[in-house]
Amino acid sequence: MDVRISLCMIVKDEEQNLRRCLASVAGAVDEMVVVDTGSTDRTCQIASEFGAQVHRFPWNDNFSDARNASLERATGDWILFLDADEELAGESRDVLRRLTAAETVEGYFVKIINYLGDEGWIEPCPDLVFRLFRNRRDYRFRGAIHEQIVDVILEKNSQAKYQVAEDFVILHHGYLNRHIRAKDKKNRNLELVRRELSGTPENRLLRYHYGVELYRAQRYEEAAAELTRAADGIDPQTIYLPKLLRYIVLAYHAACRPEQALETLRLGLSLFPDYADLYYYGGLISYEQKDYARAYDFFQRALSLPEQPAYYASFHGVRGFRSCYQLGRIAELFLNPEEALRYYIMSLRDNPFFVQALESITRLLEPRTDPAYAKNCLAKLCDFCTPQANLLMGQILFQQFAYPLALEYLERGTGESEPPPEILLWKAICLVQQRRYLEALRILDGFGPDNRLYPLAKLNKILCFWLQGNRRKVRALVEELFALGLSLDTGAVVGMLRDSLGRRKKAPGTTLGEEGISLLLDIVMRALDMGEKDRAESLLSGLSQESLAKNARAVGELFYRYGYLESAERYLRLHLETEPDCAETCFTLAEILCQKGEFLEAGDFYRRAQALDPGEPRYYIRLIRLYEEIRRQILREAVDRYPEVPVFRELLAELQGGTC
Amino acid sequence: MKQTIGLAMIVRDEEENLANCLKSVQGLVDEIVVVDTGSADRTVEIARRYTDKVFLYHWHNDFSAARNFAITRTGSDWILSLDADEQLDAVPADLRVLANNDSGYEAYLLPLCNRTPESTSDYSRFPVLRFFRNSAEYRFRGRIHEQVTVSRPGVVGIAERPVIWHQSRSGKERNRKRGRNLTLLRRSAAAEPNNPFLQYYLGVEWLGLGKAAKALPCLQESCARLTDTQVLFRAPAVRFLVICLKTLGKIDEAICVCIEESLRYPAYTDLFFEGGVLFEQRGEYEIAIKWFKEAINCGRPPAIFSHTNGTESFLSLYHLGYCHEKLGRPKPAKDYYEHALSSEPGYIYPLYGLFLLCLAEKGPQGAFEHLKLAGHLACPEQAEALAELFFEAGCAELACACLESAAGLREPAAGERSFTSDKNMARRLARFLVYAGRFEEALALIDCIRCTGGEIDRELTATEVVALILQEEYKEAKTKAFSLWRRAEGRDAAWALVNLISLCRNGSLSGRPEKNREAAVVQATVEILENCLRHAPMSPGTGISSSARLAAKTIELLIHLSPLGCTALSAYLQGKAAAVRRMMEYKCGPAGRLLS
Repeated sequence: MDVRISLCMIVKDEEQNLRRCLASVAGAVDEMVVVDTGSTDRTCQIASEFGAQVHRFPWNDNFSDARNASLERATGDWILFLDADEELAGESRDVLRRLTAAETVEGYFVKIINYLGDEGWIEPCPDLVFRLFRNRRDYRFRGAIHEQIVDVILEKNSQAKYQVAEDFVILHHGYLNRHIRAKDKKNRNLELVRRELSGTPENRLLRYHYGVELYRAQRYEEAAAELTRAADGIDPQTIYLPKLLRYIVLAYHAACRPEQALETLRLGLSLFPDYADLYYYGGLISYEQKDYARAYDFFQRALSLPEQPAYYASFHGVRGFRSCYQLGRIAELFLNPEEALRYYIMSLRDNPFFVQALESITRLLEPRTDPAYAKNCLAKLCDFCTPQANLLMGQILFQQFAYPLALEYLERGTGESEPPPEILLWKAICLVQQRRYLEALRILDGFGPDNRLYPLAKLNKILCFWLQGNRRKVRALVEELFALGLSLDTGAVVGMLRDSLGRRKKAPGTTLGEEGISLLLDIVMRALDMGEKDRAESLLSGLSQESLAKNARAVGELFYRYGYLESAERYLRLHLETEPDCAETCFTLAEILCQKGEFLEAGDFYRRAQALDPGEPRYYIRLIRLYEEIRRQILREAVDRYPEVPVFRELLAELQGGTC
Repeated sequence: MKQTIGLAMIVRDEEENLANCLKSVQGLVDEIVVVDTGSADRTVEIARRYTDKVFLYHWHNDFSAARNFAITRTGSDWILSLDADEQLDAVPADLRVLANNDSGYEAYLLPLCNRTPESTSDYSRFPVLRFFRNSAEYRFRGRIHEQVTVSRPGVVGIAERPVIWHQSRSGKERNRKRGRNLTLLRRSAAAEPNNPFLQYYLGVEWLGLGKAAKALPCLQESCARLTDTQVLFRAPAVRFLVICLKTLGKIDEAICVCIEESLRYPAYTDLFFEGGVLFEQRGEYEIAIKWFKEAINCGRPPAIFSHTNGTESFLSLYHLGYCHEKLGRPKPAKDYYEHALSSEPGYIYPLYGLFLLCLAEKGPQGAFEHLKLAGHLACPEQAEALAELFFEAGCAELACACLESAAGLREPAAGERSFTSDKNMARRLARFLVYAGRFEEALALIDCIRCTGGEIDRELTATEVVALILQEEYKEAKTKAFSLWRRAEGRDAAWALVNLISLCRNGSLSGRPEKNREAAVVQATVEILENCLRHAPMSPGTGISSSARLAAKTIELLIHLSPLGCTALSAYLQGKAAAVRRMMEYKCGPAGRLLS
């Protein structure tokens, strides 16, 4: 006798999705039962087109009641339950007959692939769900929202056997629009689950769902507590245990309790030693704790793991581009750019949409100092055949201050059509940085007063003239800009620009807030990029002592980045006067002193940085290289002084060949 | 009726020890009998101060005969038998309670504790039959390692108190005695080849002389022949067998013995400890951890087993820390080290591991705060050890802080006076102070040591000169350096210092040292450089720190000095880089691969 299969579903306003769903099962099932809970669109018509029986059921805030209404109408031997935003994968149609032919199985956990689209690309996220089971009168859904039936079947039939069928695949598209899920709906769900849980506090699965809802509502402490409670004393065979453990880790992590997160993680790994996500999150947490050794280990292990079983619901990329990217970051911290590059490239190969990897690669190629080489490498790495790709590359380069190269890509990306205003502004800035003022001004003049970037365009016009020392023009433009109405900080910076060209020093310096400082530093950086050090200094001299001291480190780092060691040293030492315990400042100072050949003092500062922040690998590595450098100098001197002693030449050769 | 107690002992040439021994039993026994077997020193005279029952006995290579002679001269109901190099640790009631017991015991095993010479807290405990009823039944037998034989085991009790402490002898004296014992033992063993006791003693003596290969068959033989009723001997025989196999590198066999015997004696802590050590040696840390945990679970073994104090606690805890450290689990490692230190503050080894772990995790300042908070600076021994460790790690400031905290503890009236009682510590602190940049305090402290009659040794004088150079007081530095020159052992350092002074003053060098002195001078100069680089600049100066400046001068001096100076410098810097790299690798584990 043939086995009959009923498709059951509940729907509401699903005209967008329903057709795809029903088409995927048409012919594979023997009947379709659709319960509509109050659609106002064409949902019911579409269902009828596919030959489904459509029943109306008034919504009563209870998913289980609606679902059970569909089960009541089903006449098949088996039930396949789908949501409207799901579909059956093509090859699963055949599998369905085989699964329902099995005589000893009461139901199947089948594979669902959730498509997520939060990060700019679509990624598949597999999981297991219970959607295929025998049709019996007493197998009914329970629970107002996280409707369950697995437990019910077991209660009614303690002999019931379940199986996992990973070759039966449901595709779920609903999460693609997850971000539009209304916040109040989230809170409503939370409230429903909470109420239901208070009636059945023993229900572990429900508590798990409650914890997940709390996590989604960003109530991490409570989430961790509920999830931990759900896991307490749980049977290790429980199908959702891996996910539960991962949520506990995430909740503790988000609640800023890394120790508990790691402890849960260790427990999780003792049960599921091949669970890649746990290693990945372990890596992230250890990285944040500056335990790079452990982080490295975790990410390596995540990379080494085989394909994950569906019930792990593994997060896309943890065995690939995500872990690679993190390993690249660690390699950078160990001052090993080659290795870092290797990992970033691996990451980008695994997911070409993963922009962070491309950004890091670009940074490591130092496009500002060696544009030709960077361009060459990037061309080998990526296919810049679309305008979007060129624009993206241009934007990345622009953000990394590699203006000439950025301009190239931006131009290739815009072509004939009129680009959006941001890109125009970037192009203008790139032109300014190459002293192509006329071209820049032509673009900047194109910004009308109704353009929201108009003030920024104006400011850049001022910069064009400021950089040329044109006091008259600057003054006039500054007045125009003031007339637009500026924030206090922006106004102050614009005033400083104007005054820095004056012959007289203004007595009291300007004190700026955060916004003003970031604008000022941006201008200083651009001046330094053009080699206009004196102009940058004269602009800074308009700053009050207080503001300067507060931002001396940022200023110093800028000067250092552009190779002005003396000024950089001055500003950084100034910073140490107010903040003697800043490890990074000590480190940069050491780097400067090292470049100046003042090795022993450099050593003092490296060691000081090390003492202040012992977790930072760079401090150790630079100290090692410093000792090697001193040794190299000494050996050179020894070779000169004692030419008759061959051993110095040998040691020197060994040192040159062996390191760095 | 009250039982009387008599001490019976035989002695020979024991003028060093005897008084302490007799003092320890004064008031605890009713009579003291000392039998001298031919002393050439003041032994008899000393004995007479404590008792009038001193007898002479003609020695004829038989310990048992001599001891039994002593017993026959004792009129008390009970006999306590001690050797001159032992002392009794007891309150008056201890022996009385045993002697007046109503459980029918006629003899007792008392714990005999051996201090290991290197450490104060490490000792082994053996139960020995030393307290028994004065009756013809209980007499010594055997020419050497004579034992009192008891025919009815049921009448022997095991006492936890009093404790006999055995003075460890100097190695030389010990070996002399061993040689003598061996001769006697071999003679006896030839007569009685199947006597497991003789085999046991032979094995122990061979092992003591460092001849494990010779000891092995004896110990194996005795383990095989001794029965469980002789567990008093069998237990130590098994332990010595394990140690012997370990010494011979037969780790697997040793492990087999541990496994077999631990099944036989599941309460015998020391076997689990030894097993743990063996697995640890093989690098199987996870298994080792299980054995050490079992040792701790066992607790102190029943008194009948010979036992090394600490295997049930701090020794196993220390090894647990070590295994976890090796497995890359710093947190449990630290916890175990801490636990070991708190259960025995005098056992200092866990501190080294703890220090390194803290340093790797938190850096010097963080490590200092952590260790202070955990109370390690409150224990003077630990504080001193930590001071040295911090100084070695290049943190002179923290080294000072450790010692200052320890000194404050020793004498509440802090300040320089507190060091008058401990000159070594003061000297150490003076050195640390100099490289911490606290020159004036350092010089004041050195003056203080001088005034209170402490010795200003070569090293301290050199330190003083360095302090003066760092303060640019060259004239006085030079005077002191010349005073150092006048001491033969200070000449190399003096040469280096004098030249550094003139290099600092006017950039000139006064020639080269004689050829035979060159290596030593280079060595002394590198030491100065090393110390200068220990200065961790905690307060960033506006200019280069004075010790960095002096370091630059030492480098200049070494390069000018000779090719040997350059080589030494190059090697020194190589070592420096390697040390940072090691620390890095220690911190990073497998991520160290990223270090190009």
